Amino acid sequence: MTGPDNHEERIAAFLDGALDDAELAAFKAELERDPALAAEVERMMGNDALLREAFAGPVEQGVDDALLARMGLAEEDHPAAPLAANDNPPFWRRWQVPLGGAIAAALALTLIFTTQQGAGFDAALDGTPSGQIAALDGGQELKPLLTFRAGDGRFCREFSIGKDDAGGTGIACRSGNSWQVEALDKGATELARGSEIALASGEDGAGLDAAYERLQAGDPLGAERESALISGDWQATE
Amino acid sequence: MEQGSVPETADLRDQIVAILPRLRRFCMALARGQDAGDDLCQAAIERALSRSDQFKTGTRLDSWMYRIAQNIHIDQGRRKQTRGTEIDVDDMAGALSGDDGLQIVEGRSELSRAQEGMAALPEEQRVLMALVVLDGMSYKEAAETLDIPMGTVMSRISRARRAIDKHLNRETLQ
Repeated sequence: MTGPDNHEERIAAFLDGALDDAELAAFKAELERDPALAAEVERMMGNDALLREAFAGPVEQGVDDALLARMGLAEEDHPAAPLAANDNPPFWRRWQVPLGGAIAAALALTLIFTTQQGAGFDAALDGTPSGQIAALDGGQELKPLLTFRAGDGRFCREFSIGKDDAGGTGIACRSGNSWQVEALDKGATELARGSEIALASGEDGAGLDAAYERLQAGDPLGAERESALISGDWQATE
Repeated sequence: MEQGSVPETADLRDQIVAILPRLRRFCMALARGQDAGDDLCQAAIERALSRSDQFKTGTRLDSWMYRIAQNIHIDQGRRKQTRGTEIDVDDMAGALSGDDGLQIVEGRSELSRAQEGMAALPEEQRVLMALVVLDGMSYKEAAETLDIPMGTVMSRISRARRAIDKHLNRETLQ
């Protein structure tokens, strides 16, 4: 494949997680010693975040009956559908981001979990707004997908991890000053069982849906609230 | 998506519902506005359901739907051009914020400026920004979705980002 071959392309490839390990290491080293480049990257990240927010409407609105009717997807037009007409899926199903490469995910997760005890995993979940990518040790990337509050008051985040099309998803909740993994998707669970990673009690490997049920997840928090939590060290203000 | 036989229309319908928010966002970016995007989205869904036999299970439904929407969008653009009513990007940008017909005034929100920035991008850059930055696809997935080389994805994305940056940070950058 063709690697990035100019300044702009390298920045874009960095932001989009498209640098290979060597390129990523070189780019990070450059970021360390070139404040102008760091500022540029930060500005570009801000632009991306703004774009995501500017087009967040359809995703924030979710799906209701009126929308389905408007889109020609009303249940009664498709009677063979297995779901009941009023069975509006809970938000985590509506919001689920289909991720390809479940098999490759297992590979990616090996690296994640060996570094998970380190500060990288916690810092990424502490400080990264949903939809943005944080680089983890080992060239892996973590992208928080959404933030919600569990029934027990903890703040939790669904995240994807991996690189390129190797990805998996999980849920972690902030307990004390660190993030405890509460659930991982199927391949990831298999993998974690064979490692030293301690999953929360009750983790049943039935995918994220079960964890959302168990955690008594509230609706996802909006971008504003999330950003307040990020800047406020995840202290509940209300 | 599971490997298997051709899906029943009802199954396909459920799968489309699952990706509907993302499909709407993609269409909104493509058609440069939420109302126009929803029209496009609805047309894409209608076409997809009528051609469900063409969807290969085991492949990505989102990519398939995005391609359908893009094809319809391109067809619509051509039809408008032959009728001599080519869309003016600046007019469209005004419609994005939802206050159609109003002059864009100073102090407009950052969010509408971001939407305008996207609207002003050339079509082939905008679609990639929608796939990669909004939808979170990797370059490889975007390349496969649009059937273009990875290198093309990379160069278009970088040019689009530069243009967006200029649009959003004109003052800072001078």
